[in-house]
Amino acid sequence: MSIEINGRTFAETPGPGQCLRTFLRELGHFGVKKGCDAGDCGACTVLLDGEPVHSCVIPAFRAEGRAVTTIEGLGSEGGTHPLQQAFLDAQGFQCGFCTAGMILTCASLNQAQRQELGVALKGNICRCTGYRSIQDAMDGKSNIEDAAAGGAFGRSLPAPAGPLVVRGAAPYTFDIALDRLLHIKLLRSPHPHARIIGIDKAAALAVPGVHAVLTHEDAPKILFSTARHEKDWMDPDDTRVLDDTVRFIGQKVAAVVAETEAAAEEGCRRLKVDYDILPAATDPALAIAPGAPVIHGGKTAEIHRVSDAARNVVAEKHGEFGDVASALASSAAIYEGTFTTQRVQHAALETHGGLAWIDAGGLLNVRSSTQVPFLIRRSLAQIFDRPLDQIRVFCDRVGGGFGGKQEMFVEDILALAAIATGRPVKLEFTREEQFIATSTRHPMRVTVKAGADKQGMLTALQLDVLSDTGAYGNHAGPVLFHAVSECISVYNCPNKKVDAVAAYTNTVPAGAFRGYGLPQTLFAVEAAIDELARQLGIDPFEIRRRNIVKPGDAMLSPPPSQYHDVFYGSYGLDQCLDLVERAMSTARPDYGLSDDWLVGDGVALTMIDTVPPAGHLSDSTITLRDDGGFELTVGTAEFGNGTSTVHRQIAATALATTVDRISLRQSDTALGGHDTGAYGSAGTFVAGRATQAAAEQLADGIKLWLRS
Amino acid sequence: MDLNTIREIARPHTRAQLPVWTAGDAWLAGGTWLFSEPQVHLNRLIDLTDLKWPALIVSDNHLRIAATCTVAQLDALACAPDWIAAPLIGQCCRAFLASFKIWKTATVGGNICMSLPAGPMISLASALDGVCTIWRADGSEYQIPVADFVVGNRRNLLASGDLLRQIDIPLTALRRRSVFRQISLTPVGRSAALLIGTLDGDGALSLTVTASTVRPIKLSFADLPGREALRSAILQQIPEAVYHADVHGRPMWRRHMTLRLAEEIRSELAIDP
Ligand SMILES: Cc1cc2nc3c(=O)[nH]c(=O)nc-3n(C[C@H](O)[C@H](O)[C@H](O)COP(=O)(O)OP(=O)(O)OC[C@H]3O[C@@H](n4cnc5c(N)ncnc54)[C@H](O)[C@@H]3O)c2cc1C
Ligand code: FES
Ligand code: FES
Repeated sequence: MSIEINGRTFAETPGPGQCLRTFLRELGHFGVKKGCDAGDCGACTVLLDGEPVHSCVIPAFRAEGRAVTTIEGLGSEGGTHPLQQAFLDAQGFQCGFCTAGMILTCASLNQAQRQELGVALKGNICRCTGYRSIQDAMDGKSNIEDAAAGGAFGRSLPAPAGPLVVRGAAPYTFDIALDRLLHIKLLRSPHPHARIIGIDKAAALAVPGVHAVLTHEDAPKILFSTARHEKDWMDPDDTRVLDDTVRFIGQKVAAVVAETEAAAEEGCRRLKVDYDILPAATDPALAIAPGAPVIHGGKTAEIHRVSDAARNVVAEKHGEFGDVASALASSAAIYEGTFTTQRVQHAALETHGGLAWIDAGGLLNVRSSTQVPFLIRRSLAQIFDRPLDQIRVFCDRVGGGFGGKQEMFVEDILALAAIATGRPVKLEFTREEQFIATSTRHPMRVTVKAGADKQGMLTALQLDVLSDTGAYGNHAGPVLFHAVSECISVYNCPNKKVDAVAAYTNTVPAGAFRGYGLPQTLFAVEAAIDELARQLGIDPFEIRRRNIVKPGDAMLSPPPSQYHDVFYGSYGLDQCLDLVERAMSTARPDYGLSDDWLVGDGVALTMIDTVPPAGHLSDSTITLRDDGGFELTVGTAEFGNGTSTVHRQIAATALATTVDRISLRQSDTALGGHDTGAYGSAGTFVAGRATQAAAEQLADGIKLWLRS
Repeated sequence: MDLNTIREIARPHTRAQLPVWTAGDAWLAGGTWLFSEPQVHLNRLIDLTDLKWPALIVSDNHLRIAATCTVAQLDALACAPDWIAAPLIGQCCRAFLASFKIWKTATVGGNICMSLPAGPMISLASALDGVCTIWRADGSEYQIPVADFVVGNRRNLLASGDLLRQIDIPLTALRRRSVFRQISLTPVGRSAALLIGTLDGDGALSLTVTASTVRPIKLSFADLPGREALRSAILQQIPEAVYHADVHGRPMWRRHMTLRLAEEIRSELAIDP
C-alpha cells in the first residue's frame, strides 16, 4: 500500500483490522496519541486529505493513496503553524496530551464552528485545562509574561516543554521505539471474589508469538501496597503482583507476553482458569456487618497493617474531644445529615502503562507513566529482592495524573515480564482497563452532626464516615484520616467527635485522588454549617467568620494527632472570606435564563495542609556549567502540574538570571538523589523548597568565588 | 482501536461479488462504531465502500439515501425550497453525541443498523416515513419502514447476511411542517429523548418518539390534538417498559421529558406559521 504522511510516501501495509492511529505510530508518528481508542477524546486526530478525523476509528487500509497530516507535519517545513503559536501564547495546555489533536481540530474549524467552540470541540477531551486557555488560544489571547533576570518569581512564564508539546514532539510514556519489544496483555478476573484453583497455559503458550504466560506461580510471594508513600507503613501490605485469590472483577489473573499485542490478546483468550467462586461483599455497610464474607482473611494489624481483617475493616479512627452528645442536647440549633459520594475515575488522558528492559549492565530500566518514580523503584527492589542501584525508574512527560499515578499498577508486572523473558516489554492499558482496574476516588457515606448556640458559635461537630476502599487498601487509611481532619480542624469548637472506618469490598480499589478524601467530607461539613446559619438567621459568611481558627488557635480534630507538624505558615482565611463576599456581592452577570430556572449562591470553605504528613523528601542539585548556564536536577515529575516551570522560576530568581539559562533534568532515579513524589502539591512546596535552597547556596558560592 | 482478530477485508465492487456470509463476518460501513469497541467474535470485514452507491438521489417522488451515505454528506445536501421539513436533517445530524469529525465517516445505514435508541438517523428517517430496502443474503430484497425495522435497543429485523441498501424518503414528507425537540443530560450529549412532530396538509399530526424509548414509536392523530388528548395518547400508547434505561437517563425522567417535549411540539405546531 502507499500512503503519504506529512509529505513523505510510505509503502508499508497495515494489518487487516488495524486502525490508522496505531499504523501512524508504528511508522514513527508519536504525535498521534491514544486517549480512548474509541472515537470519543480526539487525542488521535489527524488530517486525512486535509479533513480532521479520529484516527483510532479509521481503518488503516482506507488511507491507501491518501495524504495524512499529523501534528508533526502541520507547520510548513518544520516551522510553526499559527495555531501552534497561538496555543503557545495562550499556554492552551497543561499535560499537553490532548494538544496535538486539539490543535489539528482547531486548525480545521470554519468561522461558524469557531463561534460555537464548545460544540465544535465536543470530540476533543481535555482533562486538565477546563478549556479556558484553549478558548484563549482561539481568541488570540496571550497568557504569558516576560521576566528580567532575577524577576521570574511570580510572573506568568510559559512551560519549558511548550514548543515540543505543540509540535507533538514531547515524548510521553509510550513515545519511544525499542528493538525486540514484547507486548503484555493481562487476563482479568470475571468474578468479584474467587480462589484460583488452576490455570492451564498450554493453549496460550501454543499461540505463535507468545513468549511467556505469568501467573501467581511465577510471582514473588511478598505482599505490598500499590499505594506509594514515603513511609511504607502508611498503607497495608495486602497485594501481590499476581495473587491466587481475586477480589474484584478486573483484577489481574495472568500476564501474557508476546511479539504483538494481537498474539498476547489471543493468548489471554486461550487461558483456561479454574475458579472456586467465593461469596462477595460489594456494599461497604454490609461488608463490615457480622457474617459478611471475609475478603482478606488471615491478615493482621501487626504484620499487614490491616486493622481488623475479620470485619473487613482496613483502617479506622475514633476519638472525641469534650462531650458532643450533651453539647448537642443543649444547643440552640442542631443539624444532622447523611451524604454519600460516588465512585469517580481520574480519567487522565494518558492511560497507565510503561516499558521495561534490562540493559547490558544488568540494570532493570522501567519507564512508566508515574507520579512517583523513586518510590516505585524502592517497591520493585523489595518485591524482586534486587539492590536499588540495579533498578532505574523514570518518566518522561506524563499525560496527566490527578493522584491516579501515585500507585504501582503496571511497573511490577513490567519488571516481572522483563526479568522472565530477558526482553524489553511494554504494557499499555486500554481505557476500559483504566475504569475497571486502576483506582477511583473513595466513595464515602458521611453523617455529620453539628450544633451552635444562639450567637452562631459552634457547640459540637461530629463526623461518622464509612469509606469504601474496594478490594485493596491502597491509600485507605491516609485518605480516611485526611477526610476527617482539616474539614473540622479549620473550625474552633469545644466538642468534636470522629468515627471513621474504611471497609474492604469486592469492588475496584479506590486510591489517591486530588483532594485526598477532603472533597468527600468537606461539603457535608459545610452544608451543616450553612444549615445552622439558616436556622439561626445568621449570614453564612458571618457564621464562618465567628468560628474559623484564628492565628495561633490549635487546629484540632480527634483523636489527637501523633504528629505535631502542622503549623501556620501564613494566615489569610479572614481575608479570603472578605474577598469572596465582596466578589459575590457585585452584580451577577445576566445569563439570560428563563423564569423557571432557580438560581442561588452559596459559600463553603475548607483548609488543606500544604504538605503530606509524616515525611516528604526531595533532593535538588544545581550546577554552574562551563557555558555559564545552570543545570538543575530534580526528582519530581511533570504531568501538567507545571512544576518544571516553577522550578526554573525559583532557581532563576535565586541566581538572578533568566529561566532560559536553567536547564532542567527530572524524574529519573538514574540522576541520583531522592524524591518522594509529585503529590499533595509537594512538587512545588517541598521539591521547590529544595531547589530554592540549592540555588541560593550556589548563588552564595558564586559570590564567594567572585570575591576571592 | 485495532481489531486484532480480523484476518481479512473483503472489498466487493458489485452485488454479485458479495462473499458468501459466514459466522465471524460483519459489514463495514464507516467503521466508527465497529472500530470503537473490541469485536473479538469477528474475523472478516466486508467493506461496502467499493460498491460505490451514489450517496443521495432525488427522484420525482423520493429522496434516496444510500446506506453508505455519510452523515456529513446528508448534512450538506442542497434541499429544494419547498422541503420545509429539511431543517430536520441538520438538527438530527447535530443530535449525534459524536463530533463533526465522526460524521465524515459515520454512515446513515450504519446508524440505522446499529439500532441504538439514540440513533438520530433513525429518528429522522422514521419521522419522514423512510422505507428501508434490504438485500437478503439469498439475492432477494424487501422493503420495510424504518420505524418498523428497528425493534429494540440494538435490535432490528436484519437476518445474518442481510444488507441495508438504501432508505427512501417520500418528498411529500419533506414538504410537511415539522418541529424538532431533543434533550440530553449534558449539553451536546447523547440524546435521552428526541421527538419530531410533523403536520401534513390536512392537519394530521405525526409524532415520532425516539431516544427515550428503546425503539421508534409513531403516534398519529387525524387533527392536532389538545394538550390532554396528546398526553393521554402518549401515556396509553407507550408502555412504561418501552422507556430506555441507561446512564444517559432514567426511564421516569425520559418519560417526563417525552411528555414535555411532545407538548412543546404540539403548541408550536398549533400556531399558524
Ligand atoms: C464518539 C462516538 C459517538 C457516537 N454517538 C452516537 C450517537 O449519538 N448515536 C448513535 O446512534 N450512534 C453513535 N455512535 C455510534 C456510531 O458511530 C454511529 O451509530 C454511526 O452512524 C455508525 O455508522 P458507521 O457507518 O460508522 O457504522 P459501522 O461502524 O461501519 O457499522 C455499525 C454496525 O452496523 C452494521 N452495518 C453497517 N452498515 C450496514 C448495512 N448497510 N447493512 C447492514 N449492516 C450494516 C455493521 O456491521 C456494524 O454492526 C457514536 C460513535 C462514536 C465513536
Ligand atoms: S478519539 Fe481516538 S484515541 Fe480517543
Ligand atoms: S492538557 Fe488537555 S488533557 Fe492534559
